Amino acid sequence: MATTMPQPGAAAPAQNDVLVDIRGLKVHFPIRGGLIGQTVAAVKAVDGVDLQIKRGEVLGLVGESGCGKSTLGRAVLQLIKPTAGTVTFDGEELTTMGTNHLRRKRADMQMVFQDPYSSLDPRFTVGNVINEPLGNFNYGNRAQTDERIRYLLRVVGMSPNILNRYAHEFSGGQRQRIGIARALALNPKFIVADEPISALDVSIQAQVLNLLADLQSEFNLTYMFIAHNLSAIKHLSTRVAVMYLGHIAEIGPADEVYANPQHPYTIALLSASPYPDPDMEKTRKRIILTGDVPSPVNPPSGCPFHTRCWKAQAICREQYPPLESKPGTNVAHLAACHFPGQ
Amino acid sequence: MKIEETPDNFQALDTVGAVGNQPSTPEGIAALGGTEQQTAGVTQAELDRRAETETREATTEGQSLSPLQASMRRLGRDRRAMFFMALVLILIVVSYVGPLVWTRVGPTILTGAAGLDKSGPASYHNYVFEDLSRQNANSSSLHPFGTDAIGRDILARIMAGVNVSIEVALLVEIMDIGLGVTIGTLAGYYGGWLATFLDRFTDLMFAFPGLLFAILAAATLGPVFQSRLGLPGRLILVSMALGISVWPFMARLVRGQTLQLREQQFIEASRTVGSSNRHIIMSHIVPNLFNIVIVAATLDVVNTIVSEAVISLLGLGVQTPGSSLGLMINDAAAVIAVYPWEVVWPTAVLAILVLAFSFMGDGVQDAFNPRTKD
Repeated sequence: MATTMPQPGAAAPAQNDVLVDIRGLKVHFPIRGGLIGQTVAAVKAVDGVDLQIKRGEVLGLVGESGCGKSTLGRAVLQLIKPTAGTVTFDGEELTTMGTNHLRRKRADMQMVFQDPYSSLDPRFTVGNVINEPLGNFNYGNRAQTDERIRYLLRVVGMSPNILNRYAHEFSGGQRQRIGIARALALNPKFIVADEPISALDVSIQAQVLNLLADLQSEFNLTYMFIAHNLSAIKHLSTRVAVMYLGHIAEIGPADEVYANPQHPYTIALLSASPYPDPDMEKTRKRIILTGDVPSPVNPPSGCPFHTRCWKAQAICREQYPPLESKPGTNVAHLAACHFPGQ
Repeated sequence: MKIEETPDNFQALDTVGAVGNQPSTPEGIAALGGTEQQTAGVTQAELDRRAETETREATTEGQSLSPLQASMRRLGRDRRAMFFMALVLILIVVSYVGPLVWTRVGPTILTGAAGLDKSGPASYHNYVFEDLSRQNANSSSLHPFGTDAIGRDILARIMAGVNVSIEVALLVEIMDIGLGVTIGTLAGYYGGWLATFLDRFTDLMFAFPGLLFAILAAATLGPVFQSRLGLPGRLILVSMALGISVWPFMARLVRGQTLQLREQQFIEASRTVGSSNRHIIMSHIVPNLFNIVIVAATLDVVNTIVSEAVISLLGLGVQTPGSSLGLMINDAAAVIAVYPWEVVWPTAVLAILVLAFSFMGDGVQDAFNPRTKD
């Protein structure tokens, strides 16, 4: 499987297969300073990302804190206005869309948030929370709305009896389920899950992950699943993208990336995940990256990873490596590295 | 078996909120009520399984306490706060209902400089009635608190004075909350020039004491307001001047809280589910400001009452024959060496009023401030 020959043209999927098409996306946050508050620098959180998400797939997006993965997720949903680039959702360009049209379009693209505590308004009952999207889109009369809310609660494994309770009475996992019910309320096509399990207890993480996996097939959903840990999304993702300092370092089918990582950063990330098998765990060779993540205000020239890479050579400091298929790997498996492979 | 949950009018979704007609229906929305629902969804058996396995902890039906109810319950348990709240209520009720009763109680007596005019309680228990035959009278059944230098009943004047304190406090708080919450929320949520204006205006007010501002306003504009609007003119002027000087502080407080709230994920979540800014402000920001606003406003009443008294004490507020606790203290201070009780009564009532509001405010703070949740 890892030896498929590159086939020209096969890399570009048919247009109607692609639900979300991200081209050259940049999100720069200006830093203001000086006498008149002019922009003196910018945090380049996302610095030129091309990414296609196909219908029905789960794209896992991993990277360490501050690499821009959450910003990318928000920019796709237009919760943050991108500085440059385009996001085409279901054939419609989102970045130039008018406010009202965009609000209407939001029914199709939802988000599950990282923090189940701050993502539910403390003054809202569970019913209010799930009713909010339904109310915004005039779902129906009171009885129909009520029926829908009860249905959604059952879908996420909560009892409909909790309608009138406030969010503070629930555990993190239960709150996350309520947040998922809210995201499902409008029957979206696409859900950005922004580290939905990282704030939960380990015992609850698997439950929520399984729920998300079940819902994906039940509701024909497409996910962009953001995580900072490769093992968390291993069994959910069909494709995995690894982000580093605002760039996609490597992207490909999940089992390909796990079995045959090309980018040194992916190799290092994978080496950090412990194996469940103690014998294999003994032989695990851990690659410890030295140094810190460079500042996204002033990213390194050339390959952004060269400051921490053990393979870096002169060319890495000078040229940004194109994101391309590497010899000996699947055509859909792309890496941005001058010296790919183990 | 599928769950039946497709109301026919869900199609109405297509026309909601759309600017311009969109003949091409977005499939996703259509699917909400359309055919896709038949294939996407969860079976009844699966739903039952989930409902059973996942939520054993919280399946009891019922309504839980809202944050407001929880705060009110905490306040209700605070005996000191309840005592002073009762005291405040008693003072307010007595000051408004009292005069109605007081002007009907008492015999017909002879009044006037020569002591020849027949007067009933409707006259001599009115706070403006001057009985020149009973100047600086001692406490008696006719005048329990005595009379002042021109023979006015001190009890009636105190009740009228408390009315003034309460009315000024009410007017100032309406301005304070109205302007402070509106501008503070908008400045916090949108930022921009409004935030800059608020910052500069608050700086100005910090540098320029509010009381001094109110005194200057009362001194310069007082005669104009009085001639245009009569006696209440000065009351309105003082209220406005105090209101103008306090709202920036409320606005700054509200703005800080709004900035904090704006970063909460539930605001982003609300935007994600298609809420407008207006909806977010009205249903997420403002309700979450309730606690800090109610606490700040209650504690602010104390300052307002004292400020009004000070302005009247300086002769710039309510003018005689009107009554105000500050004005009474000023009048009585002239004869303090001879008739000390005349200054004691209004001072004591002012002190009780201020303390009662202050302790009540402390209790409200304990009950409503989320950090003191026990």
